[in-house]
Amino acid sequence: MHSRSGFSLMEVMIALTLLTILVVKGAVLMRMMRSTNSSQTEAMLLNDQANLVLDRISLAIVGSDKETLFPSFENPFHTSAVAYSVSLGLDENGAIVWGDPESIGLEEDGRVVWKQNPDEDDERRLIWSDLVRPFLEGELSNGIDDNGNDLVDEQGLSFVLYKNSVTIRISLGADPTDPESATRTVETTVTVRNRPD
Amino acid sequence: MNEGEEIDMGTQIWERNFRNAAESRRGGALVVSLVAVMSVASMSAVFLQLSHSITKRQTHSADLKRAMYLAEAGLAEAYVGLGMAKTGNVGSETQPAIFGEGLFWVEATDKGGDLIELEATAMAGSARICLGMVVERADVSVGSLGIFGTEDLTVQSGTLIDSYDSSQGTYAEQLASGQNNAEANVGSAGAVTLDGGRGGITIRGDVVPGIGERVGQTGTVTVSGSTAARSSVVALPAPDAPAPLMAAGVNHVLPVPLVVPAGTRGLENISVGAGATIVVVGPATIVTGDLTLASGAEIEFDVTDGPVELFVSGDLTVPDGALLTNSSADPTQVSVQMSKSAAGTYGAVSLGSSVVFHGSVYAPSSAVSLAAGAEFFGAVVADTLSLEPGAQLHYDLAIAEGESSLPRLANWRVVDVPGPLAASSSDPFKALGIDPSACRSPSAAHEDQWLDVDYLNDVGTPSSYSGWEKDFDWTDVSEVTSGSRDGERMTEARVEDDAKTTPPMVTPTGTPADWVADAGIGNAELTDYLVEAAPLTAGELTSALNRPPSLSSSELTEIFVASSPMRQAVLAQAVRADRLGGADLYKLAWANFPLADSVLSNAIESSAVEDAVLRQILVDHSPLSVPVMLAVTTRSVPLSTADLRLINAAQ
Repeated sequence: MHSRSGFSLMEVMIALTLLTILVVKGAVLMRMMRSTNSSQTEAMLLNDQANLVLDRISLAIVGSDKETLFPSFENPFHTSAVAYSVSLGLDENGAIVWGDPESIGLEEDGRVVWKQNPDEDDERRLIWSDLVRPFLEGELSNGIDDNGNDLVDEQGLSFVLYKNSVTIRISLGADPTDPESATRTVETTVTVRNRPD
Repeated sequence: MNEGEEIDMGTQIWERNFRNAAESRRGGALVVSLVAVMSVASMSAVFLQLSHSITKRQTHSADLKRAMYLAEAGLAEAYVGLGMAKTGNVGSETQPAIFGEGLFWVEATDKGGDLIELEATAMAGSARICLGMVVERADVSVGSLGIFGTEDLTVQSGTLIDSYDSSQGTYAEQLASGQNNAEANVGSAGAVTLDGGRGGITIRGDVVPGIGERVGQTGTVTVSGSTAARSSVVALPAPDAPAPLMAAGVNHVLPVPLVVPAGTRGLENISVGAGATIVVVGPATIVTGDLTLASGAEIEFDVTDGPVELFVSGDLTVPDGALLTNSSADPTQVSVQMSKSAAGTYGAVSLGSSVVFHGSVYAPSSAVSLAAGAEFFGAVVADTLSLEPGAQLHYDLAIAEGESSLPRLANWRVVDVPGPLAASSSDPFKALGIDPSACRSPSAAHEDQWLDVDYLNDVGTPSSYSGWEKDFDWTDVSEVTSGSRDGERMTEARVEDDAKTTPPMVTPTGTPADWVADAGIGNAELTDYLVEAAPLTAGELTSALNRPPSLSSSELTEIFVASSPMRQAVLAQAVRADRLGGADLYKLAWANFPLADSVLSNAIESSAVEDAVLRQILVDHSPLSVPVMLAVTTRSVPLSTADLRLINAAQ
């Protein structure tokens, strides 16, 4: 009698073909899933970091007053760095006591850096983000207001002062040097609470 | 091979095939599948964990914002409370105030020197924040009241009251541009009467009578703003004059200016003769008794180096032709306060027609009068304020800037949250062990105080309460007439229903004629009823005129004005019977302008009408008719030559 073990050539060819198709499809699917997952995670992290940085900047300058915010460019001018002092309370004579000078600014490598006693020997620095784009989302360095926000060539971190309010805008990118990479822009307006004496 | 042997072989072959098949089921496919599934599960778990941590952090960020707004709401609640003589303490850690889904409490600490530190702690979700604010108490200021009379305020025809801001330029510039020119603030704790007459009154701003009072207008009156009554009590502290050593009085009559150098000085009295000048150099505080200038005299306040404060415990008299000059024309630099004399009395302020004064006058217990033609830049508070026809007041908004009955913000900062509180991140109510239903709203969470209050209740009945504020029902209050918390006067009264007003007067049954005939109704009461029932008929007015006991000139005037324009025959009858004095006839003249010849003729012969008033009425009605002119020339007691000249010139 004949043995029934083993596969015929045809069966093997068919099986291999089906297997190949499945593997290829599976690989494509996996790549798509990874890509989507990666971009979603990226967006989520960017959003989170942008809001975190904005909250930190807001809380840092809310206790200052307009007179200590420097440079004091009024709208429509803007700046990518502010220096300020925060109120610590009143002394025995009723005069406001200000803390050590602080600054928040954008450095060339896309970093938002908070400094205490800037340019002093006892300077303290904290990097709050290193994903800041050179210019705000939609803005190009061409002397024109490209993104229609009444500001010209504003950088990735911009401060606009108007009376006692500061509007803070920040654009983060997954790859700050690649304009095509994922970008997240957030903004808020903070009213400094102290009034000048 | 027999049959049995064939069967055995078949069975062996079947068993061998079965074993092969069973062996062929061994392998690692299941393991591979398991590994793949676990990899996917792990990746999902990592992704979920990342997502969860980001969501948690974003939720905390949102909670932090909510907590910050809660803390600011707490500071605002305490801040407003301080303006109402409350302590500034709102809730506590064991009994916080509930607001939305969070809670807060505010602690107030007196730092001395009118400084109070408020520290608000707020908890919302997983966030905790602590904000601090230092405020400085402030009393009601002259500047914020504008032009104010603590009793009834009367403004005569020809008066102009408007505003400007001395910090933004001169009055002339702002009058031309219209900037800041319509923000005058004319007020009274009583009624306000605007007798426009033919000359008219122009007020560019608001007129605010006292609680439940009204603005009476006759003649031509233009008010650009609101005339709604105020809804809160205005508490005015007495001027607090310093007590320097008092030197002998000064009577300066020489033409050489007398310079009073800067500093604090006391002088028994100051008088300046005709042609003489006294220069007061600031910064200076001068305390004196009577301050009297003769016509042609001048006092100059030199505020180049600082402001000048003048405290006068006697009379301040600046007649026609005398000058009070402010070197900078900045009203914020000169202030005059009428303080109490040793005898416990208050003097009066009289500013003549040539006075152009830049400054503030605070005289809550004194009478202040401005003559026709006087011009006043600044703010004035007086017990009674008389503005003669043609006086001009220009309210300086710069005096009121930064001054308020609310405390002044001195400092704001973020405070570190105490350690134990910062460490907890659970639900605020669970963290503090508090039942949300037991927490009070912010307005109900202020520290309890001893409350003394006089008020009108829902039906307008005057009532009073003295006790702990937590036991007092504010919903029963319609209007507050006076009040204090822990002995400190409220500067802003709390009124639950701003729409409620003094209830209308309840008149008796019957007609006005019945009330006039009712001997049981007194004249004052009758006057109120007849004013309420206006306009009255000619017959009712006549019966009021002839009522025994007779109504006074002012009572008749009040009734007639309310019913104006009225039948001139009744007015003529009143004038012929000498029932109306000059000032009252003058009011009625403009409420019923033009007066009939019969009224004018009767006024010419009336002994109750003063010559000066009669002359003014006749000039205002010029050109006069022949019969009236004849009555003038044949008057039994001839008018003076000067009066006749003016009347003839007006024809």
